[in-house]
Amino acid sequence: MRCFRLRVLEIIASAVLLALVAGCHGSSSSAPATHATQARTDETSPADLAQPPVQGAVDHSRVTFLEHPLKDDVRYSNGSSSSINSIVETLGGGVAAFDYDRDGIIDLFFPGGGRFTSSPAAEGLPSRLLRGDGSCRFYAVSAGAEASRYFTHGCWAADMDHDGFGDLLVTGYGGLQLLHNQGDGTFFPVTEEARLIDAAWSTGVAWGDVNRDGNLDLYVAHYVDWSFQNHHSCDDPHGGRTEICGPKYYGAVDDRLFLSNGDGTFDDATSRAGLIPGGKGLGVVMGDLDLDGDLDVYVANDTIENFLYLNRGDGRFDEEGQLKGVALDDSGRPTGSMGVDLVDFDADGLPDLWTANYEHEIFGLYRNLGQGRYLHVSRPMGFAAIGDRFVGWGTGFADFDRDGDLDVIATTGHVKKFPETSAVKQLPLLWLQDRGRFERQDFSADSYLGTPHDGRGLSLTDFDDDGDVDVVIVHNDRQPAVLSNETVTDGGWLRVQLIGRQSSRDPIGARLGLRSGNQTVWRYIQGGGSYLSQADLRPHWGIPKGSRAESLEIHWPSGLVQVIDDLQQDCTMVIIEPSDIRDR
Amino acid sequence: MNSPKRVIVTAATGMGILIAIGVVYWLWTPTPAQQYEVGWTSLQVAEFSQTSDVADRLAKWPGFESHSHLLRGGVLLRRGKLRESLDELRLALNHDQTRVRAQVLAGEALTKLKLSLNAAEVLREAVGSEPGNVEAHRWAGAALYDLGAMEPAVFHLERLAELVPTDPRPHRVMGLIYKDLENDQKAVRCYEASLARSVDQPDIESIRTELAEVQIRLNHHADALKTLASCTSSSRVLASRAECEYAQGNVAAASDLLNTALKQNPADEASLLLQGTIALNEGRPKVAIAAFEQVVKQSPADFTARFKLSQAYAQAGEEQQAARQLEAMNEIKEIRREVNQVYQQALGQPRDADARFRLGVLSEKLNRSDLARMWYQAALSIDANHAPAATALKNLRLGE
Repeated sequence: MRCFRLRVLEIIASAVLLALVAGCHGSSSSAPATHATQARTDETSPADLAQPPVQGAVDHSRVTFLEHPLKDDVRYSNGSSSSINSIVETLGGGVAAFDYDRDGIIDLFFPGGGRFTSSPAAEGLPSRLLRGDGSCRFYAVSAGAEASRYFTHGCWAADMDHDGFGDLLVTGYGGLQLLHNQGDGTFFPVTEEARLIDAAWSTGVAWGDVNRDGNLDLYVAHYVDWSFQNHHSCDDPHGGRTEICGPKYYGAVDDRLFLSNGDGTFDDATSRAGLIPGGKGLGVVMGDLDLDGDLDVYVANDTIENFLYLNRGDGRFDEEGQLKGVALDDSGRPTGSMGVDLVDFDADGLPDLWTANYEHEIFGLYRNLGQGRYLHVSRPMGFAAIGDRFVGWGTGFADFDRDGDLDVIATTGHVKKFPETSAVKQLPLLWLQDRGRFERQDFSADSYLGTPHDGRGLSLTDFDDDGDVDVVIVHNDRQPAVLSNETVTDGGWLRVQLIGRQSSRDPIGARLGLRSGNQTVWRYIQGGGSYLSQADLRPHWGIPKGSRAESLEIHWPSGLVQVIDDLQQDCTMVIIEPSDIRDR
Repeated sequence: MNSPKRVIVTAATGMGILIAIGVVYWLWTPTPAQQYEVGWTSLQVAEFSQTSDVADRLAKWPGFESHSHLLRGGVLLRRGKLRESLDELRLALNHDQTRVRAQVLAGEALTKLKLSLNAAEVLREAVGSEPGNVEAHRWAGAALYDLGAMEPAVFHLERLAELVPTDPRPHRVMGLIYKDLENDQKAVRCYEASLARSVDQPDIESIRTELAEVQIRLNHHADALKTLASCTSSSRVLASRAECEYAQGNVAAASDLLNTALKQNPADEASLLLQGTIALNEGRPKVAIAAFEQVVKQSPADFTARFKLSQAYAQAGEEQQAARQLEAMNEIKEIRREVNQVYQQALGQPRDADARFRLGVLSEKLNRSDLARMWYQAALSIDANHAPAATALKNLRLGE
């Protein structure tokens, strides 16, 4: 009887259950669709989802670049083939554009990066020196500059001994390397002789005469205190994979200042220069920011406040980044700053500052308001319109379309292996200035600038010597891109090469104002700049149709001011510093 | 038909009917277990008198005392008699058939009593026994949120969202949590998931506005404008739209929206910040100073307002004032840094009442009395005798 009762109840319960199940199906008809949507979302890889969209861009840019493949195997190895997942892998490498053999044609030097061995150790890979032939072709040469003692990153060329030939400083994990250009087509390592003893992880560098003794000194930025012993492991938020830990997991390493003694040796002047501790520095730029006749330093730091070192005139500095308004973004937050430039973007005669920043941040354009004060103007100038998914690195302003105002380019690429909202390879960014606002350009998908890359260093130069500004971009584990500017324009141009006599031979810190029409457009010969890269030290102006170059005002680092009225156009002028003002 | 035969037939029919009635009666008289389920269902639909009747009946059945206590506890809980409900529910914890339900109801009562740590512990046991228990996850999420244990709270909210695929609320709460933690990408994903589940939520406008605010923080201005498209024109919405237009270079449109927003609400902080920013960029420091000063007056711990005010003072040549605001900004940032540090400590130490008290003190310094109250209560839920937390909470209430 008990069993019967249970069976009856079971039947009733089953009926109710069936009704409920049927009801569930009926009432949740949208459920399968929801699951399908989720499945589609899950199946799409984050990288596919997250390729930064072309947002706020102008279709059919009027500038055109043509990529020229390199014949030689030139690539920066970032060590990612190991399973270390070190933060060292994230930085990448740079390029120096300079005429090492003084044949009038731009040559290129590429640090080779490195790899991690099982010992474990970080080992340097050979650098490459490519000799240009002035027609977009480059040939690898053996010049004694190739051997790398360390895992290299950046490189900067400047004539430190005034012999007319550019010497090279290479930074990296483990130490600095100074290569003396012997003038016979070869380089010789002189790091120890020069007493540039610095085993910390060096990144950005700026050459410049900070104590006004006529010799080029060195500001060296350092990054973080990663080592095999101090290695953190992070998880990919999507699960299951190991991600590289960012700079917030590591302590900052203090920057250093080396003063040249003028005899090929340097002294560490960090303490007496008044540099403050910390930093996590990447980009460095040196120039006369407050127009008081000496060289100041701006350091782009990763995740913490950027530094602005104002020179007291004798190589001692006061850090005033916050007070002057260049340490933070427009909300008062520090940014992950990488690349940097010093430029008068609005032609008001005052040097402004620019930083290429991390994702979820706006690239920073700091307008110089005078009296050494700056205002973050990226939003009103149009830089917020591209969204926030780009990670910016090498960068620089130039008049790419020769219309008289400055445009800007930046390489991009993510540091993470598995970015959450973006992609590892990203579209390079190029903005043209138009009526006081910057507009991002859209390029066709079959062009270099229309396809995503994992870019890092960038150098602006005119390697084909045709009067416009070309671009060289370094990637992680891929051949660099050599891009000639093929923009059709009826504008003219002028390029100036300065040779210092009282000033250092490479007169870093010189200001040049070209009068054309009713305005004077300023260029600065800067130390450092961009990211891990050295740009052409010869300032370039585009001159719009209908205007002509009328006069050039040069403020030499020595303090000499020179005005040249008799200007030619569409050529490179070589100007030697007069011994005094009567020489002009 | 002769009469004896008719009597027999009649008697047999009557007997049959009686047996049938007896069988039907027997079949449809609920057992105590059935009655318990009836009582539980009536509790869910707020038929409390029926629940109480069932509880009374069950109390007389041997072996069903726990069931009776559970139902009584449930009724007391629903009627807001939290401590009395806990007394009843405790008596239902020892029976296998009532334990999980009693734990979940007790967890709810403890959460409402702000005894969040106890609540979290009892709910953790419930989830361990029944990983698919919706209410256990719901209240565990709430208790852990109150304890400031955001990551574990999010864990339960995520499970809840999986278990009830049509419920938009868990994602909304997760969006709020991530927004507060300034984890903006996750906040956006949560808000979008909530909206994808239902656009008929009563507070849909708030969700969209919160989502747009996070999108703006991420510089996704075009997305934010889309999010705000179907919102009404409150000052908050207008200010957000103005910020998007300004970031996209549409200065005239931004100014129009801003003017309307400020007419609606002259104290709207987002509008004032944007008004000051535009003035700063246009070289009108006095206008900027007035706008930023008002924001700083309303929200003294807003470091962005302090920063912008310092820039406006500097532009006006008032160097000392500028330096003072920068100093204030750095102090606020230092407090925020300490908050992050102590918060991590609190996460790793679920029974550290001092860390939670410290978070309360820091929250007060940041003018977040809502957060301060939460942290003091969290400290007290761990250590009911934590005198500094009790005093601070009392002072906070007096101040309000």
